[in-house]
Amino acid sequence: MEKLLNHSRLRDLRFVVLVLLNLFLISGFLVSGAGGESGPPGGWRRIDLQALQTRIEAGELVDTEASWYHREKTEKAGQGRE
Amino acid sequence: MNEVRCELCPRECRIPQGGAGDCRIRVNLGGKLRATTYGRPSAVHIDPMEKKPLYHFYPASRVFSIATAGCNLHCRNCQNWQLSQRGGEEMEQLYHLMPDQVVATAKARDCQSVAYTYSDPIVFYEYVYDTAVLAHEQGLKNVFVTAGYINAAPLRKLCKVLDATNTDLKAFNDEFYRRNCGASLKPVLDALVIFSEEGVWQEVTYLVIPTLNDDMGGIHRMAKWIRSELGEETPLHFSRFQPMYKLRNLPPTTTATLEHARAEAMDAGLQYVYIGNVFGNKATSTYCPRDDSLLIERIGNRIVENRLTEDGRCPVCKLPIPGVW
Repeated sequence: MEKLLNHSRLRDLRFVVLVLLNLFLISGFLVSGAGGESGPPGGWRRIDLQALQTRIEAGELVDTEASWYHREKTEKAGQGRE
Repeated sequence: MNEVRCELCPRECRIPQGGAGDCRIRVNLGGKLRATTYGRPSAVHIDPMEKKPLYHFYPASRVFSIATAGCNLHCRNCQNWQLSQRGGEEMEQLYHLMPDQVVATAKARDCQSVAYTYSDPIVFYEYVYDTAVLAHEQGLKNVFVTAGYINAAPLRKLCKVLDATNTDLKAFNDEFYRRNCGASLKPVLDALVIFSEEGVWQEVTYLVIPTLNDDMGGIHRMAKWIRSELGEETPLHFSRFQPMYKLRNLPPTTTATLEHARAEAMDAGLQYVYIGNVFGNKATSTYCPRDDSLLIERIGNRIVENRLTEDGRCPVCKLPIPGVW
């Protein structure tokens, strides 16, 4: 009987730990902004360059030079985003 | 390392060789920034002017509307995310429509204007500008539907060839812009003022999202700001939110909330405040601010009756109604 009770307590304890762990992870997600945007990143993105070049060569996209930019001479750009 | 800095929008992305700006379509190839969707729209439609929405600019006229992939905002409620949150290389549909073809097609289809819309046309700036110049030469008007997240110098240049804009003011709160759009409020307010200073006919849209930007105090402050900075005659459209993209967990905006927002804006002194995306609501129509008579009756995007005089006045009290009629 005592063995059975101990086993049941251990199972309850595991369950409580699991619930607490879940609550901890959920609160962490909520505090971090629920996956929302976090402000102007001002960075750049990695793109599928091969796909882009293939579609430019096929005439589906273009390589027209844009306006409103200048070449940078210094420092490395930061990490790109997908 | 052939890095470039894009100066079009406030992000000012520093882009290494082979990378794209945050907008996904301005790409550094060979040390030069390329506008990869120039002349390659992915959305082409003919809309009524009311759909933009523009209620005081050539009512019921037809607008040839184009958009390419890409956007410099990343709104969690975006209704065109399949277009705006993708690069050109990811699009299934790419039309070949150079500026002269846009203008010729618009004229052939009996459109009075060309609209740059759906995604944010800021990111395909060069395509907009070149098309707009040709459109003006051919007697067409240019309509720019935007979130206004652009630097002052390019915007001032573009304004010279624009006739009307509807600008989304997404909240009167920087925190909302940061969390919901990955942007900031100040450049948008600056853009609204620039449109006004440059004489572009301007209407403002505010999408009311339950729990995120439906605080009536904020709406009242926004309306007061519009009144003081843009003028009390600036039309303001409160639009109904529908669960979309990353905000499917929120309910649609209630009509009561939209009517409350409209009452707040009118209490703050704005004269033309509309409710959109609610079929059959009386606040879709235009009323005279002096004698309250019905001027333009609308149901959805359709005009039932336009009672304005030919020179754009109230037929009863003769008050001039602001707009381009």
